[in-house]
Amino acid sequence: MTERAGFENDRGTSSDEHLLEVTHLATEFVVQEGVVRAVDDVSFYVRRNEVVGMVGETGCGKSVTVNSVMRLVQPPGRIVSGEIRLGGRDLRTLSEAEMRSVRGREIAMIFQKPMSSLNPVFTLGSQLIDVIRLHRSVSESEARRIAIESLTAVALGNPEGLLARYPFELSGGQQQRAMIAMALSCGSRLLIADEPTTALDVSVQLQILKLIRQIMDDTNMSTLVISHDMGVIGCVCDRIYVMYASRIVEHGPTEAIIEHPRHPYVIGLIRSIPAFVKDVTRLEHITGEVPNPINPPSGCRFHPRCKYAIDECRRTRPELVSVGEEHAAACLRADEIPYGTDERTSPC
Amino acid sequence: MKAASTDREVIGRPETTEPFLDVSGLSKFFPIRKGLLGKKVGDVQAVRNVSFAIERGKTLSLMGESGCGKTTCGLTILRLTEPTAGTVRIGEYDVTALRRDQMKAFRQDAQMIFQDPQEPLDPRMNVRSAILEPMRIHSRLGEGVARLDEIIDRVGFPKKYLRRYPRELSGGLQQRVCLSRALILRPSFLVLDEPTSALDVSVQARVLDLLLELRSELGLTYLFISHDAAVVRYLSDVVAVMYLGQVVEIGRTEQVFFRPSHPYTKALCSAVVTPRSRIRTCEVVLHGSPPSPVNLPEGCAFAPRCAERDESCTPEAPRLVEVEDGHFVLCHRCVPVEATS
Repeated sequence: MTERAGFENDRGTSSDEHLLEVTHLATEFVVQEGVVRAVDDVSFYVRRNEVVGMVGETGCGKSVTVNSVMRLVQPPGRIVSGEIRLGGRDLRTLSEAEMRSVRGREIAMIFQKPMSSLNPVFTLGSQLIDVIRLHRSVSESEARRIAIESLTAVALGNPEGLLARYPFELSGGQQQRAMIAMALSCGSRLLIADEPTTALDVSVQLQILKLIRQIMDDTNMSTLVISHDMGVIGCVCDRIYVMYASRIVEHGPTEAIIEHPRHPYVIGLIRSIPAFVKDVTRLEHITGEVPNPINPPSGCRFHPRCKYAIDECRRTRPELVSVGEEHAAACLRADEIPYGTDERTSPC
Repeated sequence: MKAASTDREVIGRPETTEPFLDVSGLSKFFPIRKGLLGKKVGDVQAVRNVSFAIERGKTLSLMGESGCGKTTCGLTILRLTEPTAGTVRIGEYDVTALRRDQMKAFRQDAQMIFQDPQEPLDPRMNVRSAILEPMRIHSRLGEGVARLDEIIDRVGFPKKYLRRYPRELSGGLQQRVCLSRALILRPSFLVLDEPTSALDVSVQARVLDLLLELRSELGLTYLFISHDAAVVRYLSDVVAVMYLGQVVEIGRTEQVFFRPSHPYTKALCSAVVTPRSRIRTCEVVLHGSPPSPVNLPEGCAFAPRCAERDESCTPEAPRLVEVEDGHFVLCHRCVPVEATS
């Protein structure tokens, strides 16, 4: 079964259950040396109340994918094909003015560096109230009440006092919480978190991830988390998509991806993470370098680095094929590759 | 290995082995000046009375959250910033007593690798010149040219990229250039300040293993600075956990990580997320952020955030307590090993 078939079958996953559904998305950048297809035929969906992760290494196209969803790709980049459906509406057909009301109102986004998303010369209160009044027709005092309510929801103490503070007076963790509060205050249905904890300390990271998970469990929101960190993605997400060289190479429920990955790249990626366990096992290495995006390898893009590659891998582009319940891998030899990762346990 | 505080000199050091790196009572305060006359109004107490030691060929890791003083500690040990108090000895160098004219020899023997591999590289200098630059500075250019091929081969940098510029290289390759620059001088000691945290996981794995190989082949000693417990676990023999400028726990890696005694270390270990963690079952033990290093709390610096605190934690400052052989903890509530046995 291909991934496409996965969308259309009726395993209790009718498409209206999918809050966000992206199909065959392709985004290109025209550069001096040629055309870079940063997102190549990417399809994924996010259900209501679900936390979905998109993981991949630098330059794999995960950020361009979400920027395409938000229609934030600037020339020389452009979306060349595909559909981006949010609750049934195709975002690609919306006008720029309509799109502006989607951003922030329906889809909220938080970034790696919260400080760069907050205006340093305005207080947190004025920024929160402005955003709320932009997206919801409420009075200033009502907006203030909503702001305090959402700051309380993200576990920030003394919300009234925080409204009068400037962003630089807050710690990194508090800034990221304030950004999440901003997303909550407009009643967004989807939160896109692009490396939300990469700039934070481990203890603060755990607090923020816990907060995101708790908000998703308590409200009707969904989250798409983008990260290079398999630890972050694995611990917080229900389902995972793994990208390599502009394409999705494997996707499935978190447990299936972490415990029984089928694509050689995903297996290598998981085995290259140092485990926090008593007995240190040697790390596995993925040899070679990430391919040049202007002139990607033929067939399977991972074949030059893959120890299981056969001649067929050089010629045929592998489609995502089902290897389990909602679990698909784009590897011609997915059925033959030694199954699963080694037995390593986590203390958490 | 040795961990010492000034009140209990030289505790836990095995009599037979001579430590290669010996740091004793190291402090670094940055004065805060105010007003027209620059009157000193206080100190940022970045590093406070830190002591540790490591044998040749081993790795000691400094671990802690941002702002705990681990990087300042690394810089002070190499005298890239002058210490306020304390002594540092590295191999035959009495670092804190070196005169200006002796520094050049020391600089060749001790090198530092930084987190962002692009920053130390001059964007207008190609890789070959960048690697040879330290040899030129130390008037050993001829030797450098002769060793260049061997060095880049050793760190796994492809020869065909020697004429390239830093921006044309990936992060992993840039870090290999930085390593080549450091190693070409034949140092015996490296300070590695988060050398892999800017790299992707698959690249990180290769750089970590490269560091391990280089250590054993070239007989290097590492001071590794990181916030990542899993990476520290993979690389280190001894771990020192820092909080607000102090070492709060020090011991062999498996002691510190798998029998942690200080509440802060316990909290840090529980905050490590791995792909197999489940966020719903993870407990947040550590709340808030560290207090300012200017106005330090009275008594135990960690007490305001500590889940296990009681009336014994203030006002007296805790002392390092040996909880088991070579495993020291800065906590009022820990029981010394001699008391338990």
